Amino acid sequence: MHRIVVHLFVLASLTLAVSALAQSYQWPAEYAPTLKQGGTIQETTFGDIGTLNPYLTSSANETAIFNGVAGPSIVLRDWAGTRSFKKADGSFNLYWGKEIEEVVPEQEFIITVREGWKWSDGVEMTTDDVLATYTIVGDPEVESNDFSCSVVDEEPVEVEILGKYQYRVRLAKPQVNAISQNECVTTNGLMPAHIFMPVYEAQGAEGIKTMWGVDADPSEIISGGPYMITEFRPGERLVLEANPSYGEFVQAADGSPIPGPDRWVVTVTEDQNQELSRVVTGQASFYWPTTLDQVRALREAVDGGTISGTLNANIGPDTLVDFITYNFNNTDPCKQAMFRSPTFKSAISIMIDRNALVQAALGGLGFPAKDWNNASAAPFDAPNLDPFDFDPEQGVAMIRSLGFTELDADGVLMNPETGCRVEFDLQFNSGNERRGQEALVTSQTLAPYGVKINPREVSFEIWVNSIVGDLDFDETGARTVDYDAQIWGLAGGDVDNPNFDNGLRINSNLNSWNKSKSDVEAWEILMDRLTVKMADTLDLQERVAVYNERAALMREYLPMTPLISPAFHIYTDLSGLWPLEALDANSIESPYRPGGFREHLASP
Amino acid sequence: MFAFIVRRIVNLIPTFVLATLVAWIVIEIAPGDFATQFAFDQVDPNKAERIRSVLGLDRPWYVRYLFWLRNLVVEGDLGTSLTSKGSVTALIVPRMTNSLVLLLPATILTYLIAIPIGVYSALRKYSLGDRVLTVFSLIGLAVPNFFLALIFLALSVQWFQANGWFLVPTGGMTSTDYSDLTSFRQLTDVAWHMIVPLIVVVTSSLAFTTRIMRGEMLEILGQDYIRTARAKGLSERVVNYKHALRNAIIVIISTIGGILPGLISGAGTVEFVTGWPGITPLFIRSIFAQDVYVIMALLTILTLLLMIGNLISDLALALIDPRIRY
Repeated sequence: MHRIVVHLFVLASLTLAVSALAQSYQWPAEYAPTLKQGGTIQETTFGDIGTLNPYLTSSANETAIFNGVAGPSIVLRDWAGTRSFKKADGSFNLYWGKEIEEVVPEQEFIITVREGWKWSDGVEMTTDDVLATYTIVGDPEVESNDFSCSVVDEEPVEVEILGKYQYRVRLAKPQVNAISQNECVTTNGLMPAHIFMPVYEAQGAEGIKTMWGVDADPSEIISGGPYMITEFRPGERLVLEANPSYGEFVQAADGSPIPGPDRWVVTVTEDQNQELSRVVTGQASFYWPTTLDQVRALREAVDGGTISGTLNANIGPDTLVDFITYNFNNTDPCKQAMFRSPTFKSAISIMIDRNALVQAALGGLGFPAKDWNNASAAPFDAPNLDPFDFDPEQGVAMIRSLGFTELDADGVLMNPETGCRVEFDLQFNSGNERRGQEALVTSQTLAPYGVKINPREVSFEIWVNSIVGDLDFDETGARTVDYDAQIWGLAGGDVDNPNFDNGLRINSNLNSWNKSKSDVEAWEILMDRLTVKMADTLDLQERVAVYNERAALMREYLPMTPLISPAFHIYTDLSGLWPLEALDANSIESPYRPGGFREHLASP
Repeated sequence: MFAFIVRRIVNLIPTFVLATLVAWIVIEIAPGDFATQFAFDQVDPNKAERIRSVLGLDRPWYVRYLFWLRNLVVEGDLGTSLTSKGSVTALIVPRMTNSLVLLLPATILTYLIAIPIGVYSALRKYSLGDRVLTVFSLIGLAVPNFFLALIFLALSVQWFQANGWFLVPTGGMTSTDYSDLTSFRQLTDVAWHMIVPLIVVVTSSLAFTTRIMRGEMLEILGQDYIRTARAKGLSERVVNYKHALRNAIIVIISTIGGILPGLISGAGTVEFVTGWPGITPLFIRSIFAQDVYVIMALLTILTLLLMIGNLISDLALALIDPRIRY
């Protein structure tokens, strides 16, 4: 008996010694000052979980959950501070990374990682895991959602292992925030090489695809994050429990192990009413309402004392901005001339009552837009632009200046010389009630002024084909969809460099207004050049200046007419949340990433 | 009879191939494909094309159909989900099982309640009881399932907010501590969660079956041989239950063919609103995502079960109705 006790003591001492050797990471006070230990956190996720393999998912919901299970990142994005992977002094916000040498600025790095960090099965994390991740993610046959991160300009990112804890990364060319390329490959899942590489070497991509599917035994899934998957009931629930080894090398500012809560229950819902009913009966620890009804129901439940959390409504705009684009390639010469005219588009723009759109489409929970990005994308939110005026009289005067001087029998402005009328269809994707309301209110607002806009609900396919495709458009025929104008929107772009390369460049796939390569205006060429320049401008302040210059150009010529953004709200009954001023729709999109707040949340 | 069964089974083969071919063509006719949803990627403009190429979606539809059919017939492989990249079988079996857990008792309960009510309504035509049951039946037919489920959801929330505990759960199939419960407690936990979806499903199908049963009984009771039976001095009980009910129930038995696929094809919108983790949400999501292999797997299984169900239905009719001989 005495011997056993001695052996146990020696074993415990060795474990402590190994733990002490681990080069641990302590979170700064603004993220995780203290953590209450224990308890269960509940959340709901909308839509089912189709795989337990963090490296294969293309679902944002699944990625968010599995980031609590996948291996650590090298650096952190400081959402509560610089919103960047670098600190204000230019050094990196290191996480698993112990040291980063920037060999060639924004192109080549030598990265040294911390020693002693372990997967949940006790195997140490090393550069073998980095190499495995690059190898597997970089194989297009694997169909990893992160494949695009492993290439720059169609050239693979080069990785060279320099030692057990050191590797070199080289990009084909310098690029904005180049370390994010490495993060993109590894953050969405540093892979345990000892699990994945034997399968990959034996069976290739097909072998990887069969790993950790929905029928996998959760106990076989290795975790490198704060939580481990312990139970999965398809279509119903995923249960995560704290990964005990994680707290050995990652701690809160006060030294308490991370994560704080013991258990995290994720309930799958497929219906918004079902999801809301769980929240208002205290079965969810946090929730992001998106509609007026949801906000109202939560407010009633909070005020009535049914649930004990705090609802912060209308914190700021969501990342989404809805806008109108016009088809410059329309086969109707009257419409083409109108749609290409900056005066016409500016006139329509100031005749739109964006506050009325916010009221009608969002029940008041939204913001008028002035650019295709908004405050959630700061500093890329065009502070140099004023909000749009609402001045329908001025708008009508501008349209009349284009020759539309008379009203026809239907009360629509027309050009007596050409016979052209100020009438066009405004299409939106079927089922999108918000955009339907935007189209309807715009139509009703402009009708008394002689501008006839016909709201038109179209199938998703027509809507998509109006935006993408047509890259071989040759001017002689119509586009796949010879539409007039349509409402669409963008959300969640690159926070470091929202240059929107595949939308604002000439003949790019998301340039929905002009698919022509040759029939372009001088301002389109300038916009194209500014977009390229943004991608090549490595300095943040200079890049912001280029963005603002391009925003001013876009305001003048309006390839996209910004409309509104929905508001962003959050309800939670948890402590440990970031300060309210640090919360915005962009930061909250990454709640589960290291640098997000899944690790830092304390139990209720 | 044996020759009939063999003939029917042989006939199933071309029917099955034709049914799957038509289903495949219908899916193909829909504009776009699985890769279309990736066309808006702001970071990776080539994503849609790359996915299309890797998944072979750029091959002709008939080539892909033949590959799928070969894998199904030769290897019993239902394919790989384009969305989850995992086995379709692993994806659908647990959800079909969940649907079965709900729909089997619902179906049994429906017949156990509907047949006696239908008989009662027919035997006491235009009585107060018949009128009350008719009104309830019509309400059951008229109120959509999802709406009834929403009402129960709202009542459940209201009850909780008023009393601080759940009379019935707001949704799901099990409680969060399900895996820690004893087997008996697990059983009662599922039963508790089943209360609302079961009531909704039974209410809607009850109305239909009751009306069918009532109508059929009324028609049979007006037949000459029923009058003859009464003239022979048979008791009302024998006339009603031996002669009339046995004939009236034939129409119910003829619907058995549809019951078998119905048991696993999901409870429709009820599964969405009550959070029951059945097959319907997966099916609907797969249609929106154009995940052709999941859609085809479900249609294939349902087609197969429908054909088997029809065979069973025909055989059952022969057993019940002496006029039917194969």
